[in-house]
This record gives sequence, structure tokens and C-alpha cells, in this order.
Amino acid sequence: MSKVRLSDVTKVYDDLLAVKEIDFTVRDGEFLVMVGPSGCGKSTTLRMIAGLETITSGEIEIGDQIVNDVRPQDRDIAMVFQNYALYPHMSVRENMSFGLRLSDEYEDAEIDERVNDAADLLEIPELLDQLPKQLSGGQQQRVALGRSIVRDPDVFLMDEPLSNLDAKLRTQMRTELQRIQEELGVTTIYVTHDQTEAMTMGDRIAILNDGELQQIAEPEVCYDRPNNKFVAGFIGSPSMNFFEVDVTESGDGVHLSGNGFETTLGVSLDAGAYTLGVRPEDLTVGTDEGHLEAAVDVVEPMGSDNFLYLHSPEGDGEIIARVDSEYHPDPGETVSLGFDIEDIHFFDETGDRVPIDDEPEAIPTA
Amino acid sequence: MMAGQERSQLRKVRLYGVLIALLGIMMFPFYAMFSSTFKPESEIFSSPATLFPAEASIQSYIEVWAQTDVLLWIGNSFLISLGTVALTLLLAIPAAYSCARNDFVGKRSFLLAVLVVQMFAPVVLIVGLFDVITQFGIYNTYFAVIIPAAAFTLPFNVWMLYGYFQTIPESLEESARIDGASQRQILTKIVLPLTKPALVASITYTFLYAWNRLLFVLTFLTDAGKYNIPRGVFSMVGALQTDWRMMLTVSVIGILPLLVLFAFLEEYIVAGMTAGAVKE
Repeated sequence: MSKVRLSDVTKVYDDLLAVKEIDFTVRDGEFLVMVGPSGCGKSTTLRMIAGLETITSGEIEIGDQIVNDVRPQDRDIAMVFQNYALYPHMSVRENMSFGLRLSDEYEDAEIDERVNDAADLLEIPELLDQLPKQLSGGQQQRVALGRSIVRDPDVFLMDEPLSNLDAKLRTQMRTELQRIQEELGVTTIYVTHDQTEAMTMGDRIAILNDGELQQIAEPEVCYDRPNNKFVAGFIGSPSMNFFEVDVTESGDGVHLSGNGFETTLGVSLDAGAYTLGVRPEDLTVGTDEGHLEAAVDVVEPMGSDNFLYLHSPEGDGEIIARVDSEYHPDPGETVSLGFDIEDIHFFDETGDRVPIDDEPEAIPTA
Repeated sequence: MMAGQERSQLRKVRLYGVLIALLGIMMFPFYAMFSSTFKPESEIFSSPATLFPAEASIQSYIEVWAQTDVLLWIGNSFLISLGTVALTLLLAIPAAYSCARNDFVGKRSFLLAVLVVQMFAPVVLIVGLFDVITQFGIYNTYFAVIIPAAAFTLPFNVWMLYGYFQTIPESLEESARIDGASQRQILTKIVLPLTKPALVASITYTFLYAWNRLLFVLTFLTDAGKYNIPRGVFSMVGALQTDWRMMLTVSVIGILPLLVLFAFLEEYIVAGMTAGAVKE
């Protein structure tokens, strides 16, 4: 087990800046999920930690050793690839013991014991003599995991390991992975583009966009206090609603106008142009006085609740509200949208979060 | 229902008819060669030609055995073919692998140059080759045949292996590297075992090419003890008369080792032929 520290890590391909001065520390034994859209640099960052990509500038430390110039095989890491990368010509047992056999540290008996233990942990002892092509996707995924486990590495690196599985298996493997990680207590860095995976699996999540770290914090913190508009929109499903509004001071609060808003909120905020963010689940829909009038376009029943797609007559863009499954307004009906001021977020013109009232400062990203 | 079944039966009959006809056309020269070895000399040129020997005899095989060095020729053919295969693979594997895995300045030009070189017929270069071979002092040694033969089989092999290496996911090699494998171990334990179908196709092609070389042996080997099968057959062409029956008999004996080889490798050859056709 080890901590992993990235200091100002940058990766430039030819003239493309893939990763820009990323700086964070993964704690010993922590499950950190790196999440972001395609091309955000998360896989590149993981590959730099693995040693499969060189670092343009900055430093990576595993344990207390700077590993910039250490070869992948000497970093004491194990990696699970998106396509599992099982060796097709070797049996499951050979796949799992390949790394151990390359090193002359282990006796045959110890190798067998480790492979059997890992197979038991993953519940695949009956597959040990089969070839990868004889296995289902979920079983291949377990073997890939087993190959990492037998080596008892300092750090697990996982590059979208669940993305090739069907939805049901993915959910099952999510909890399975967490169970195994908890049992082994190995520092794990997990890359995904799926924000649900990030929210449910990570002790903390690191959100990347355009090669830059946007926020690293516990899932609830990223959800409740997103550092910027990108994080706010990326975390949570359906996405947060954004409204461009003008704020002017008024008496004991501020006055919001634009995009269908003409309302006063009891918060303290400098006058100016802002983006107001409200999550679909924080919108209350009713006929009473709210903050905004909107017309219902579509009602999407999800079973446990309904998604309402609405638009404000004066506003641009779609508004989504998540409401009780009992509530079924007719399409075309005009409703009033309300929210609590604790549940709203303001972002300035650069997209950064503007704290209102006395909410705690965002946790620094290091 | 019946009509549908009949139609598909008919289709099958037609398909097999065409295939059998094609096979017959291809196999006929071999049959003619084979059956002629059992005919007396006079019957080989009788007109109309006979399909089956009127009086089959293995006399020609006995004569070939007693009067020629056919075993020595087969041995030499093996030596030259195996040498060519070894030299070709030794050069083609690293060349193809490095092209498949790395981007370097001049890679495209290199691959194109390899292709262009293959367009020269050996006979065009034979005079120049002769000069090179005498300069190197390898005239009348097996190397005088092995090296040119390898040079002419390299382009095809580099291209085929290059294509096949590209189909092996790079993540397999990365995974092996993280598992602790050195570059050499990655090649020997991961990449080459997965390249088996292409390697077998490559070996077969190179082996056949070298086995059938006459021009190089004719030009660069003067010592009769170093003759291969084609050169042995050619040695029966006399100034005054040519013993066709003996020539055909040696030819039949000369293709037997190839048939055995093909029978063993058939499964891999088929896999190698379609290698790289579709991305898996």
C-alpha cells in the first residue's frame, strides 16, 4: 500500500496539451475515481502513473519514491485495462500467474497458492483451466482483476474496467469491486467516464475536463458544492439546470431577472451577471407562487419518479424537474417552479462557483 | 418446403460440381506427372496420350535411386530452405514489429521501398548479385543461395507480419510490461505465440520459394554435391537427350516432403491467409 502524489503533472503530445499541471494526492488505501468526458486526459493521467506514457513535466510519486524515470515493471503497480488485455493463448491460471512467474522471487507452490486465493476471492476457481475466449465478459473481467490481485501491488490502476459489461453486470461488478478493494485495502485509482460509477464507488472523485483538474473531493461535496459550472453540470443525472440571470441588489437580498426570472432572493451577492444552477431534484413544481413560470413539454415516467421537461416562455433552453411519480401535469400546462435558497448555486462569468452567505470554501484541490 | 430443400440441394450439387472441375484442372498436371513415372519411356510420348499406364512399373524409381543423388538433393533443398526461412524470419520479425509498434521518420518510405524492391525479378539482378557474391567470397557456398533467396522473400514477409502485428492489441503488451516482462519477453512470450498463424504462413511461403529456387543454384553453386532438387532435375537435361521419365520421377520425389509439410501446417496456413482481413 502506498500513497500516490502527482505534482504539476503535464503531458504534451506534439502540440496538443493533453494534461495540464495536475496536482493531487491519493491517500494510502483510498479508492479514488478519476472521471470526466472523453478526451479530458483521465486515461493519459492514469497511463502516466502506470509508466506507459512519459511525463512532459512535473513529478509522480508512489510511496515515497519519485517514479518519473522508473519503468512500469518496477513501479509495483497492477493495471486493469478496458479490454481486459488477457493473454489469449494462456489459460486463466497462466494469465494470473504470468507476472509472478517472470519474477524469480516466488516458488511454484506460492504462485499456486496466490492464484487459488485470488480465484476464491473472485469466485472463479472453476475457470482456472479455461482459455479467455471460453469466458463471458463478466468472467474475463474477473480474471483481469485476479491477475492484478495475485501480484499484491502497492497500487491498483483501473482504466474503465466495467465499460464493456452490460448494465446489469456493471452494477453487480461495481459493488463487487468495492468489496474487493475494501478487503485488500490497496490504494486504487479508477478511471471512468460514467458519473454514476464515480459517485457510487469513489472515496473521493477527481473530475477532469480539457486536461485540467476541476475538483477533487468526496462525492457528496462535488454534488453539493461543485467548484464550477462544469462540475455542476457533469455530476448528477439528469444534469443541473442553468439559467443566465442578472443580479441587482435589493433591500435585504438580491433581485434576479432575465430568462423568465423576476424574483427576489434573500441572499447576499454582488450585483452582476451570473449563471444560476438548480438541480432537477431541487426544483419544486406546483401552481403556487414560485420563482419562475414554465410550460410543461413532456412528462417522462421513470417509475420511482417523473422527469418533467419544461421551458420558460421568456427563457431559452430546456428545464428538467424531477418530481413525485404521483404528479402528472398535462403537456402545455403552465406550472410554477420554486426552490430553496440552500439548494441553488451561482457561477460567475468564468464558470467558477460564487459562494453565497456563509457556506464553507471549496476544498482545495491538492 | 420440399421445393426449397430441393433448390438448396441443387445449389450444393452445382457448387461442388464447379469446385471439383476447378480442382481437376489444377490437379491434372500433377496427375500426368505422377502417372508418367509409372509408364515406360515409350508410352510417355505415345499419341494419343494414355490416362493410365498400360503396364505400370516402379522401374523409374529404382533407376533414380540407383543412378542419381536424389537424397542428397533433398537434403540440400532442406538445408537451403531452412537456412532461408531462418534468415528471413530473423530479419522480417524485428523489421515488421518495429514498424507496427513505432512511428519513426521515414517509416512510410521504408515500407514503400520494401514493396518496390519486390517488383524486380531475380533474373534482372542476377549479374549484379553474382558480382556481390564473388566479392563476399561466398561463391559456391550455400550462403550464395540462402542470402539472395532471403532477400527476395523479405518484402512479402515484412508486409504480412507488419499487418498481423498491427492486429495484436497494444494493451496486451502494456499489460505484460506492467506484469514485469522485458521487451524480449514480451516478444517471445506474448507477441510471437499470438503471431503463430502468420508465422506459419510466412514459413511456408519462404520454404516453398527457397525449395523451388533454380536460378540462384544454377548461377552460384557449381559443386554437384550442393545441388538442390530443381538443380538435380535440371542436370538431367542433356545436350543430346533428356530423360523425361527420370526428371518426372525426381520431381515427384521432390514434392513429397512439401506435401507432408503442408498437411501438418494446413490449419495454420488457412488462418494466416485471412489474417488481418477483418479487425477483431
